[in-house]
Amino acid sequence: MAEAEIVAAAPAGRLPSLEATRRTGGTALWIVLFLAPFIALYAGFTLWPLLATVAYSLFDWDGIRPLSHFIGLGNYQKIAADPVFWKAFTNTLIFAVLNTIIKLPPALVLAIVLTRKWLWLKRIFRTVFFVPVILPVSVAGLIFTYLLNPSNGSLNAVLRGVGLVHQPIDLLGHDNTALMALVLISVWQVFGQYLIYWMAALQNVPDDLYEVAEIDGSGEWSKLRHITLPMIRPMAVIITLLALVNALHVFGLVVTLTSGGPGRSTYVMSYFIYTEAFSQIPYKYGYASAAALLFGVLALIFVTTQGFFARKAEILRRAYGV
Amino acid sequence: MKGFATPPFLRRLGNLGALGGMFVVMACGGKPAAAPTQTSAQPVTLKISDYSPEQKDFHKQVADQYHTEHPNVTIEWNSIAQAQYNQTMPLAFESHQAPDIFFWKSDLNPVLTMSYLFDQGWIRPLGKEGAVPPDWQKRWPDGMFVEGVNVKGGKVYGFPFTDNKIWGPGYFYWNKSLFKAAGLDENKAPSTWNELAQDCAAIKSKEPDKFCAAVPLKGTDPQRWWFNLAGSIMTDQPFFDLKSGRFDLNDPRLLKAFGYLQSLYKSGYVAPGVNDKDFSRQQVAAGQAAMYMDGAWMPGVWAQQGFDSSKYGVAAMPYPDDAPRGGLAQRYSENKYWLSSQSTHPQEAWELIQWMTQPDGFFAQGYLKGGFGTLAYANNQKYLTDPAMQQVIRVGTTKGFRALDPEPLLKCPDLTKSKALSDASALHPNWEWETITDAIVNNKNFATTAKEVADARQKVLTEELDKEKASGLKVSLDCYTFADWNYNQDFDVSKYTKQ
Repeated sequence: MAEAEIVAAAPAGRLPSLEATRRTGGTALWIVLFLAPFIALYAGFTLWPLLATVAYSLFDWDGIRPLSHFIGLGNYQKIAADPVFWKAFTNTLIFAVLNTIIKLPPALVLAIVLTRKWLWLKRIFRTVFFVPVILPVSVAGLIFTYLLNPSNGSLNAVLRGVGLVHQPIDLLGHDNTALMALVLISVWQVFGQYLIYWMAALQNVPDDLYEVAEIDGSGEWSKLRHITLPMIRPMAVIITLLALVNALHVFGLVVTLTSGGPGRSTYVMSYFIYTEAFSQIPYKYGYASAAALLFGVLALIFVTTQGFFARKAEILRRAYGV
Repeated sequence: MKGFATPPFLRRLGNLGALGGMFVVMACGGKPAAAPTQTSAQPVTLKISDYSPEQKDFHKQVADQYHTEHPNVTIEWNSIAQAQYNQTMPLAFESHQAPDIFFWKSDLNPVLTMSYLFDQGWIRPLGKEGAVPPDWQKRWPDGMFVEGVNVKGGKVYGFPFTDNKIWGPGYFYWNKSLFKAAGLDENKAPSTWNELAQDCAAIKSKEPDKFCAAVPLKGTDPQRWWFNLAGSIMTDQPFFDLKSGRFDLNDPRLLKAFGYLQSLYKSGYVAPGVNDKDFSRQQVAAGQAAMYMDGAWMPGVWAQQGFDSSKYGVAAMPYPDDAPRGGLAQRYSENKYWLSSQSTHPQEAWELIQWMTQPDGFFAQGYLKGGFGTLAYANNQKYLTDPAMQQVIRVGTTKGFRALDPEPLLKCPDLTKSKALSDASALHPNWEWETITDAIVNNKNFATTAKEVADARQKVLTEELDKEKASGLKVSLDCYTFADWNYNQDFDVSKYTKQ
């Protein structure tokens, strides 16, 4: 069979095997060449630190002296019995879950609104919502430190001015409100980012599906339920798990707003690791490495889960024929 | 497993990227330390590192002046924030990029700074192999060069920089205009806890929109008030009692100090919020709060914020009305600048140190006039012209205000090799501050958690000391116990019985 015939007989979208083999062989060198920088950086700044962290976690090490005091699983045993670690672990999970639950649905609703053809000033709205994302975390922390301060913060001034409260409320100063306040501030900051993600997902839905639905007489709600939501499901899985994983890394806001307090009510994993590793000399690199590794395992579980759900969602999308 | 040998370059790489890539990355490499050179007229660049960024302008003046006097020497003085500094210095030494002179003070046990640095191999002796001119040592009062603290094997490695009598916590500051507005004598500070509470009541009643006290509670900042209250009734040694050799957060006297602080909070006298020290200081400077307690450095801090010393008063911290007075601790811990083992110009660096420590020299005068602190080798009274700083000196030099604490290291020299106390203190490093803040703002039972903290640390201390003793070190809990000493009396140096 001639090569032209093979190409013609191949299903649309797939290269014939002969062509594929030839091209692959011809470009293998280039692939390796282009991948080399990434592989080198990945090995140096991801793989090696990961392996080093595993090694350090088995030592009682201050990060400076020779790596000589091997203690096996000693750090892990200590961590398992450390209530502060578990407090930080629990807080991190609560933070990540609440943060995700609170930020994603409103961001989706807003993204749907902002992708409507009839809406004016879309770009301005997008910019407004995206501005907090580009603010450094430290600046966001400072803004809210002053905004929420019970002595002279604007929030209390307003609440007292309209007579809603008589005594100043200290959202960051009580153990039952501090974590929630952090969650809300974090949502405020990253909301625009997830708005953009949702908009990107929505723009992937083919317009012709909506056109067909309109011909069939479907309303907006029906289109949302039966077209939009099912079609963006694969992206939704990825966005949700990205949101969760990103929220697990909360650190800057905790440092700038609460320093883990009051007490330990806003201790999160990154802050725990930082405190153990760096707050006093001799540093506890070994112990902090073990905590970091356990934390890494948690994040890995989320990432792995992401793949599973994403595949399931993709199958569903294919079932829709797109 | 003993002697796990990691190739140095791997360990260095590991340092850069460890802990999941979260931590600070610093450039590696650089030239290995060359053999020390002698003084010459060749151009020399001396690098100095510390964490006093507020002194940057002064450091530039020092560098310019020194260059004028020594045209072949250029000083590069690098001052960064403390947290960043503590992380980068180990990496600087690890990558052979250490400065010639550097600032270091151990937070856990300042007195053990030299032995820690010696252990790391970061320092070299001053002068010619540790032999310093006698007239140089005479710049300090007698008894300031102590074996184990800044002298090792007869060689001098460090020198007291900040003085240890005036410098430290123990000072009460008040905003005069708020005192006046409340009908109080603007020139009279409360001298007892009850007087302070009464003044607060007056301020609250006359100035309902203002606050009596600004008490920072964020992170480790509760120490600003805590050391003063603890020193007034017992000791400000950070949570360790040298009379009993015990971690002491649950000592009845400290529980009483806490109870007093909590009572101020409950009475609504304290500005609300878990604020940091900068915020609290600004509240006093801005006239939102009347009282603040902190250290001798406040006049310098407030001068930078434009809060003139005529607008506030300085006094000793108030004492409890119905309990014996405690004492603030005077320690052998003010050795701060060290000569780096990696310096390629140790002779020039040593000459610079001698120049810096001239009692009437350019450095001392500029440092004192800048209000950055009090120096151990200079006439502070002469050059600290700020009225508030003059008052700080008067308070600080009052007899009994600060007493010389016993030094366990002088009783048990093997403590330089011991990690027991530092391991015990490093167990959740900020635990005491977190407990204090939590109990205050959430109105929790402090005694129970205080006991939990003290017991946990004591357990580590005792166990580690036992292990070290079994390994041959002459250390025990007795090294940390000075039962005959009183908190507000100088410890009699002749009472050290070495173990």
